[in-house]
Amino acid sequence: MSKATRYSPKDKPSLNYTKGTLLYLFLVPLFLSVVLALFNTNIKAFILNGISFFLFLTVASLAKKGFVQEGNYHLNTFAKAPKVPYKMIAGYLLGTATFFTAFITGEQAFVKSAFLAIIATVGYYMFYGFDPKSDKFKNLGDISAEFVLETIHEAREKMTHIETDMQQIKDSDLYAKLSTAIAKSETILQTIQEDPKDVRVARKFLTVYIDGVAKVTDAYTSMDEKDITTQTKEKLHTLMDDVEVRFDKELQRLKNNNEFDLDVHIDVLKEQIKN
Amino acid sequence: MFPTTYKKSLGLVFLLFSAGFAIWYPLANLL
Repeated sequence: MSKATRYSPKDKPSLNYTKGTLLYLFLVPLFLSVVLALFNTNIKAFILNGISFFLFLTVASLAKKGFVQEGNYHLNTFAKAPKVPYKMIAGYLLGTATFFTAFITGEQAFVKSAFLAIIATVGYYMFYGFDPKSDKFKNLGDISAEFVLETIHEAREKMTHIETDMQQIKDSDLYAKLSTAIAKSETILQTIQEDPKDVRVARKFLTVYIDGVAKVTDAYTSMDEKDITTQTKEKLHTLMDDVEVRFDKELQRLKNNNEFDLDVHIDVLKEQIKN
Repeated sequence: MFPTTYKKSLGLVFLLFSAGFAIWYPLANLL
């Protein structure tokens, strides 16, 4: 058997992948200070520098959390504004950390320390901006946003599960079919995000079909691939072909639904013009 | 476009210099 392994990127590439790395740079001098204080056996400096280090470390990790949140918000067409404004909290904590480091650890004057803290906070907001505030809910109709978000989240979870299982599938034909199914589900999810009213139409697809595929891949990967008979494999291939047809139909149905919406709007406008 | 670039650049300078200075003081005390 070939020793080649399938290339599988661990994470989906994100636009904000490196955002916030700069904040970790502030930790370098503080780390040096902690080490120097330790060498000088200066206990007070060691403790104070240690606190400063942890304050800046918290700033960096909170900000990073905020950036990831913000990235996900921008990536999705249908998204709720972040519940906890991590970016903002990190900004305020940066001010506190700067003030503490300058005034207490660095033994500088109060006014000077406060000035540096304010400028650092202002600079942070100017450079990184604020957390997204408004929810991105369009075309919601009479459906609750929570319901849409939950449905999408459930579907995404199952898709991730299938993708994880796929890494263990060596049958390249089956792998390709599963990849197509995942890609089509992603398109369907995208369509739902653009027009969440469709979630009602697509609910069955999201809960039943994706779940079904997940169960099949689960059972498949729990067995040794060599032990699966050719007959079962053939059955599985036929099933995956059916799944693909089903997914295509679902997409078509969603599109038709949109067309129906358009027809309704055209008719309504026609009536209004007539009157 | 340009106002955003200026705002971001100024923000970066503010952030680097103020937090940078604050961090430099404790290190300078120990050196």
